[in-house]
Amino acid sequence: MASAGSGDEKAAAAAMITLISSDNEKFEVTEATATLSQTIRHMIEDGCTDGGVPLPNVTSKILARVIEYCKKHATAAAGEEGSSSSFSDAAFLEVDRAFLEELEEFDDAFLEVDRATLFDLILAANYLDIKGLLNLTCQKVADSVKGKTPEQIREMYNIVNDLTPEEEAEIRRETQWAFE
Amino acid sequence: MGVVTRAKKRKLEEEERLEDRISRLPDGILSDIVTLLPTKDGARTQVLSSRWRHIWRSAPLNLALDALRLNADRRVTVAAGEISRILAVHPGPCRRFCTRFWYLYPDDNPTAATAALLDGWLRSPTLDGLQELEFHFGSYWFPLGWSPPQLLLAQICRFSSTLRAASFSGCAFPEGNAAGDLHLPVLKKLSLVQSMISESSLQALIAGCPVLESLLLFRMLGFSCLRIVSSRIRSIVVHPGPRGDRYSGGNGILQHLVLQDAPCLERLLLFSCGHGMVMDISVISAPKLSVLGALSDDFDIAFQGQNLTVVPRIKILALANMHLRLDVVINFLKCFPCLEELCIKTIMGGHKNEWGDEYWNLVISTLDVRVKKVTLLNYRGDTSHVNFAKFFVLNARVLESMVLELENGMMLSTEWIEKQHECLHTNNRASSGVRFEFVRRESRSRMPGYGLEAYAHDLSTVDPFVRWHGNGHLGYLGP
Repeated sequence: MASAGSGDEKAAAAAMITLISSDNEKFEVTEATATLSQTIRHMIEDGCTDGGVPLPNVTSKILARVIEYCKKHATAAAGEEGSSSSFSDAAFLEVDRAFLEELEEFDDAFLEVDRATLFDLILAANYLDIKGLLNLTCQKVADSVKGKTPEQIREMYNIVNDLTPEEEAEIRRETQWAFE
Repeated sequence: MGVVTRAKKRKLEEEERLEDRISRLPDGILSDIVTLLPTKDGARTQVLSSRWRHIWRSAPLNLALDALRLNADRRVTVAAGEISRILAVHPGPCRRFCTRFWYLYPDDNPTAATAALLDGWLRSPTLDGLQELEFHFGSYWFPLGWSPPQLLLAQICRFSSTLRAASFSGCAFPEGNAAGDLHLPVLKKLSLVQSMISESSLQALIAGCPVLESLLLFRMLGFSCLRIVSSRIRSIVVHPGPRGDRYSGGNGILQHLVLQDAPCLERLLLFSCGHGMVMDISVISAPKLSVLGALSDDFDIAFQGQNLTVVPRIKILALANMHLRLDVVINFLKCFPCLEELCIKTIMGGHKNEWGDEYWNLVISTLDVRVKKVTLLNYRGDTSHVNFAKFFVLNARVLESMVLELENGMMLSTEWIEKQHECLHTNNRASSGVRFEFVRRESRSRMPGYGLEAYAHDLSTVDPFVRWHGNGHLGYLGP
């Protein structure tokens, strides 16, 4: 019985899922990669992934990037799971460290995208419910806004100020401490 | 045709460039972005446009007005008032709340009124679901005979199920079982700074944090022994503070640190202030410990109950030697056979190394020095320092890099560096390819207490000692 159980687990780990982008491109990914997305995880749990998972909100260009992120981070997640059983493994610590560094470098490089792509990634991460990717991309936007005046932020992101001068003055009065 | 397509494409690109993509993000995402901003930056987003006007109030609050610490009393008073106002206008929840003592009593005198103010803040429904709390209640220092204000434990308990990071400074923890009431099931980072806590209360507090990953103890009072029993802890940073009643007012300071059972502990960083502080460390079970230091002449370290036995896993070691003494360092090397990086800071200069030829020969024939990187801080380049460095140049078989950071005020010149290479026999080495780096120190390296928070809780850096010394690089200079 025990051996049959582990066999099933292996089969599950190797199971492939097909993701279909809005422009009808198909991507084959492992279940471990796909389930970094809570949205897809729930679909798998509900057994509605046969024949592929259509993702009408995500283009093939963005989906390819998202999958790249998930593949890398799925390996990290697997490493974390393994860690609890390998306390005594002498090599573990070293591997762990090197991998964390590599992951950080990967994330930095991953964020080297133009603004349009960054927003597309945010929307995809939100739709697919990939917490790590959403945090990463939101932090990138927050960092770009940090320390800037409202005027600078409006210019940077083409935000049209539709507040009346009176409205703006009122907000500034209410939150005077933030403008000092 | 092609021209038209290109022009069209350019027009499209131009339109795309001028599009306001950010404002079209859903509310939830804009909130996520705003909550990541510093307090003032977050609040300022309200005036961007009507789309943004209500986002700040709907985003979890990040309330940390540290930038308001200015000398003018007026500003200080405004800050306390503003915190009350922000808590009144923002409906919550709150992600991070950071309060500094100067909001409360800029003249360092805690009064009943300020305690009531703080009490009011902590009871505010806006703070519901708080994840990060920085609670700097008292002063940075303890004048003799001054008793720090009591931690408002009851108010903090209401955040116990959500707190992930907590920092307490300048306060006294209640005695006995009361601190044991503080059960923090999701707390990962804990900083205790210049506060008073008894040994039993501290043990109870740590036991009440089952998923704690990093702990900072900075100049704490009230206990002399700490036994670490923690299944998740990865990093411990300790700065015991100077000895003597003038500082401690007769209260205990940490002298015995016992790593009783810490299966995940990777790093133990110790910082002394160089005032003859003595502490002993016993390692009973810390199988993953790989980064250790800075051990000074004053630290007495015992592993498995025996003084300085072999500790195979330590890879990165920092030493703070009052005088640069090779025999002391070699004793450490014998205990740490897998050491890869060694960082040594010498505090005083002017003493000769004392060892004879016999000692040298014995050492060289029996010791296999396998360090890859050696960093010497406060290097002077005189005979005793050169001899010290030369030991590694000639005996560390797999040495890859040697960083020599000059003593404060010393200037680098090309001639001096050439002379150093000559003295260090850098060309005589069996294995070539060692990178030598002479670094001039820009300013005196000091470590303020709050800088230690990063040492304690930032586990992303592999070698925490790279930030030990403020240095100015002058480029790489190979042999």
